[in-house]
Amino acid sequence: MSGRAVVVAALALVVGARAGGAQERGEANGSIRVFAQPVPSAHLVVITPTVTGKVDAKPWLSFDVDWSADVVSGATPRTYGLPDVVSAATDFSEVRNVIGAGAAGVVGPATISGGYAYGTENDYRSHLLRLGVTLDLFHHNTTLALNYSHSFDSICDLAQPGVPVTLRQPLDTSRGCFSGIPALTEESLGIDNLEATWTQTLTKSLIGSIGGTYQHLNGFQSNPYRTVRLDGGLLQAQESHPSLRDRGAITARVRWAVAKLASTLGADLRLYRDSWGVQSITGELNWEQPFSVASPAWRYVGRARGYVQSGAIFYRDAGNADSYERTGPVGNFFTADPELAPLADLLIGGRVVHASTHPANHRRWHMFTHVEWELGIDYVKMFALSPEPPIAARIRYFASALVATIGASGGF
Amino acid sequence: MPRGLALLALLGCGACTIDVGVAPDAGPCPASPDFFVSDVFPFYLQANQCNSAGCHAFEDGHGTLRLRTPGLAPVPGTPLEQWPFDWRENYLSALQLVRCDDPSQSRLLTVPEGQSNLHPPGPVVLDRASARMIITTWVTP
Repeated sequence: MSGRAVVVAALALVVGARAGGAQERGEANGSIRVFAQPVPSAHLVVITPTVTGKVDAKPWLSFDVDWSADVVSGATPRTYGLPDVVSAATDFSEVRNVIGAGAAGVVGPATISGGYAYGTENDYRSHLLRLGVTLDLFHHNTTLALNYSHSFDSICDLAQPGVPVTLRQPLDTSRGCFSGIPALTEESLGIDNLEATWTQTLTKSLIGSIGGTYQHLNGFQSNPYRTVRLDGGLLQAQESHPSLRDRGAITARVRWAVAKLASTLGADLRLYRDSWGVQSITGELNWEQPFSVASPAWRYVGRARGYVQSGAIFYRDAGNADSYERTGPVGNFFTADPELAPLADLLIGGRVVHASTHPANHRRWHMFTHVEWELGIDYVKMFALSPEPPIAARIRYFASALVATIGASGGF
Repeated sequence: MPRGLALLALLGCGACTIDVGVAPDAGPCPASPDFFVSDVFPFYLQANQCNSAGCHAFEDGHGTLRLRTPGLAPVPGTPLEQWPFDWRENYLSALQLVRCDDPSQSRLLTVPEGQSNLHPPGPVVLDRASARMIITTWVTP
């Protein structure tokens, strides 16, 4: 592989496009991801099938469609606070569906895109609009991308107008949601999301990108089913989160092509901060290499990721002296969200990929000129950084999470 | 402020966090613990089989109300902190579902009466008059 080709392959890894895609008229992708938190007392399984498709109607115009679902089942304790309520974990299952469509047009070096997605589940509705522009400059050596989306979400909740947060009760069931019955209401949540990315070829074998994301959330951000014990258990109220949240992150990535091995070494660093006081840092190293340089159709990817975050300013751990149960809420707020607790995790994963190309007159299954399969497994071990975080059993189990992915994509 | 600048400001400043405000002074309903033991549990919760397996039993029940199988009842006048664990947790679980200001609108009554279409088995409390009397007496000082 020439140095230039290696750089192109590395660039494809960064921007998520395939090297052979430029000559294709479209592509189709399908995958199934299985996420499992296997601890017996509070197990959780999420199966996520995804299908996407894109077709180039004209050299300057393409259309895309996508569908994904989350099929969730498990058991989870809904009340946070001592005494231990793990044995009261509630069985639940739900299905989320998201379907979307979009279009993209090429104008000179710019690709302008837009789209819409609709998400639905028993207790949640979402309408998302997105716009984006990508500039491909200096013979593909520089790519600038700017994407914006706004989501209009509705969340089912118990109707409790005027009730103080410490007396608000959780939603028991999604039964009756969005049917207009007076006992229930729809809370709103608006989400603005802005992303900017600059990807740059740095040398013949090195490419880098730096990106920033900013998200503004305004509305109901609590889980309507979760409860927190306050004041010795005399109050057991629906978790109360602030209605405003600003989140920002900066991500830097580099990919170094090792031509002699036809391999790519990647390193990612992400810094995150939000207005709820959560700060995090993520570092990842990954290595992609063919099993044989002479036969590069089969390749493997190994990766290791470390993550650590602080807790939200209104998070109080049930095992500490200043727990909600002992000292009450932090102002108006109290949470049972494990993602707002200080924690760390370590992910080790790998995947095997097989890619094949086919001439236009011998298409695979009479359709595809490029087919790629992949099978991946990730192991996640979480580490609690406070004595008794929500759903501590999942964190402490030898495997906090296992993720298996099988996917296929084809270009035509 | 443009959103891009907001991102830089958010990452750069240490004081860009929300104001948590002041905790509301709304306290729990001071429903009589002794009356819970003498009347509410035996003549309302138990009589309507709320604590049955698959309903609101602690181990495998549904919803917010979770009831344990209690042992010996506390002697009247015993401070709540000294109650047997199961009795105390049952009292606290039921307490969340009553309204001192309007007892007849307590969810402990309205949900099992089937008034809000949120009780999967449908209405299970058939003697509504007695039920309301029990709950009203419980929460009235």
